[in-house]
Amino acid sequence: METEISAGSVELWAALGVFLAAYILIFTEKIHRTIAALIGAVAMVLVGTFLGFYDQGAALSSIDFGTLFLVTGMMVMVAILEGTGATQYLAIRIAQASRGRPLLLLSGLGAFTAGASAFLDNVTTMVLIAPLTISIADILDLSPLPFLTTEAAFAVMGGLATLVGDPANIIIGSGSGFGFVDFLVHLAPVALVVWVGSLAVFFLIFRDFVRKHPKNVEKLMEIDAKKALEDPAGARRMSVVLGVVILLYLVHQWLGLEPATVAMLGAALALVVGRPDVRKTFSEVEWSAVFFYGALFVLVGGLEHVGILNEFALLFQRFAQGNVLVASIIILWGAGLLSAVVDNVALVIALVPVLQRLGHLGLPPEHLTPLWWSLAIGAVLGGLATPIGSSATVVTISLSERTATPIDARRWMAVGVPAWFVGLSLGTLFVVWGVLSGFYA
Amino acid sequence: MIPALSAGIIFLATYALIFSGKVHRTIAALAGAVAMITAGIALGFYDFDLAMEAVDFNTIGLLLGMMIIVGIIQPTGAFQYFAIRLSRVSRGRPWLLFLGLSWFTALVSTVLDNVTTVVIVAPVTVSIAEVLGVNPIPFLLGEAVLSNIGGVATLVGDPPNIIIGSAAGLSFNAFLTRLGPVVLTVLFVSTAFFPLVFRRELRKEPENLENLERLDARRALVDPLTMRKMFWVLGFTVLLYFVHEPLQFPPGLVALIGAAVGLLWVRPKVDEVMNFIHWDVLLFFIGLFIVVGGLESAGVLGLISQELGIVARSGILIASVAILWISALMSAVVDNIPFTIAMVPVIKAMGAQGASITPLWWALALGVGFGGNATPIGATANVVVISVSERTPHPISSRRWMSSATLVAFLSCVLGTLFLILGIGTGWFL
Repeated sequence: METEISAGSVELWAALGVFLAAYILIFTEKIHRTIAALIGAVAMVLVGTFLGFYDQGAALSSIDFGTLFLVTGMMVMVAILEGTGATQYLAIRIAQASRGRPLLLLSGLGAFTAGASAFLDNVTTMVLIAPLTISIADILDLSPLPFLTTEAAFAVMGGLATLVGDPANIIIGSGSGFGFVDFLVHLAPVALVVWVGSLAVFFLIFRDFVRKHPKNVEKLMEIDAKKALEDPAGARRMSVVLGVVILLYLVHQWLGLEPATVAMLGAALALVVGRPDVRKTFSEVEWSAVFFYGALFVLVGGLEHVGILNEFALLFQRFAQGNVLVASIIILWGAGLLSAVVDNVALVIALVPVLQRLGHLGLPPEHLTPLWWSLAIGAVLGGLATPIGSSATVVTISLSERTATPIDARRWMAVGVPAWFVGLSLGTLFVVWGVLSGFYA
Repeated sequence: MIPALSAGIIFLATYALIFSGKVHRTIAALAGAVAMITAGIALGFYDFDLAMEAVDFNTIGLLLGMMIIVGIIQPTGAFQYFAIRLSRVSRGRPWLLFLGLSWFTALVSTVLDNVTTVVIVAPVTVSIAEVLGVNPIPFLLGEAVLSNIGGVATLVGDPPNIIIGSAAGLSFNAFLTRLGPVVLTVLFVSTAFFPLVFRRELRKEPENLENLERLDARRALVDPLTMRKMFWVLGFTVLLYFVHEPLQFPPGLVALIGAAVGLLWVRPKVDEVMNFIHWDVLLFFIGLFIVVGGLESAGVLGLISQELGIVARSGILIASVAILWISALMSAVVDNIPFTIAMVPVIKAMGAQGASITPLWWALALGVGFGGNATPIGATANVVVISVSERTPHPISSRRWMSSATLVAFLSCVLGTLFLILGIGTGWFL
């Protein structure tokens, strides 16, 4: 299928050079990551065309359009949902149900964020919930900081539970062929354990805070949640659409539908049912992210074509010595450490073909499967550790800047690092149990 | 039979929805695409992977690259700058101004999207005409018509050419050498024709010549530095187009190289550039490719390819001329993009029977390109100038359009036919 070229050749070094230069350009953030990735992609195709190891056709077939369409489809649905105010409505209802008690409010908003981000884009979830949280905290005369950090952490952790929760999962799902239900069965329990574990950690960190007595509870109760609902009819229609989409996700493997087809179906349904302003809806889709992913696939495709990922897979196999537990733990913690400092999408796109190679090299499925789940756990939770580890944290931090206690790096790490450590540790325990019990085979 | 039937129904329903204008065309195309994939999976003739194969990403990449380049140039005010400079050079003489503005639009639209060109040039034209106290209608009409004609000259000039070039594997130079002469002739004929129709307006002495001095070209130029940079980028891109075939660069890659160089050199705000990209148009294309791909996979075209092959072999000349006129008529009344995308597999099917089909591609390009001028709704540029003219005291009525541009469209199709006959006769178009 692809030309395998022996190591040490010009092609190999050229491809590796373009790839590394592009990734360094992306991670230093001197120029916008999408521009950096697009330039890298164009350079890879140019170099490949000259040296004969890659061309536009091969680059296009390297792009995982399943991922791109899934991401786009979900973003279209979110853009339409966003305009209805449904998320804000639910968040206010939850705050009122807690009667302003910090402990309940923290758990309620955290759980809601986790649930929402399991199906919606993390950044959108935070953009919708954070401003509301700040105003609720203001009313109750409580510091918004614990709420915001908890929510951001849960937005990241929430994404672990499903195939569509985090771009890393989407890419892993598409690359491994696992479906929505596979993710739900194998990762949702991990996510649930991690949520409970980190909630306990948050209670410990904010132990004084959660015992505080809120003021002006009656003011909170007076808020009319219905007012947040800008378009009640639209919200109802969109919840039906989302319900249909989730239902389809649950059965997509039996129906033989790709997850991307389901997302496109949902987007088309939302566009037809919601009848929004098309131009406005499409302009709300984060195209730069879609192109970033596309360009990364092209870059990594170039590496794949010179056979370098094959070498990497062989190296990894030798290192892990056929011990699936060792291999899983290396991947989980390696991905967890790396994605704390770099974009997890860039990491996952580069690692998916390596895992696929391992499969081609004859690694039996029962040994390969735990590696996929380990990669997902490490890549998704890794983002917790640093303020730049995930886009949800970056957004929350910038939103917190207008409060009295803006989240700085130190404040974030105080919460994020414990959550990261607990998350990865619980994840490791789960993987170990999964491998030993055969649940992950 | 059931797959072919259901694919046919989905195709027809989608196209009817698009042409009816009841729903936004992108929604209609996407809904059609999803319906086609779902039906394909249920009946076993199509799936997501096949759908992705059906999408011509070379076309999408080309459109995207050119949109990014335009997105960086547009805010610099370069178009306005040149339009005002042209009006100064013409010294207010209407027919010179007409010549300058319409040829400028035609020239720009050979490389850039003609809708964008017209969107920017038309309002400037209206203010120049106001300053001079002349009727803007001839200028606006000339710009729309000539931009549509100019777009036919090159591979990247208008979306149908991009689709045709990508599907047929025809190079930039092939387009320029085959269609360039036709377009040049048509441009000359139509610039001679317009002053005849609008002799009253164009012979009028300009009133407030001294006001022309007040139009400051420099002030229109918001960002001269970026304009100069993008001038080089555009020049470099066009140069690459000339040599893309020996370099083995597909046109899509060339456009994306140009866009990458522009982005790297100018360093604009990415989100602002992204806003200039017409995502709905790109998704419209993707949806259409998926719908037509489903039609192909279901074997609908296979059913009629026998007949199509006979038509193609019985006389390439007759087939070409027929395609030119049918395409012209169709694109006068409906959106030419869906029409072109649907025609691609039809022409390919004709070739599958062994006939040489290159002339058919040229005929299609000429027909859809020139046909758009026939009616006020035939091309997006027409719709744009009409809506601009509606904000002035001289709106362009349908009657006005029909009495001038429609004749130009007819003339250009006649000239196109002559060239087609000549090209096939001499073997130049084969």
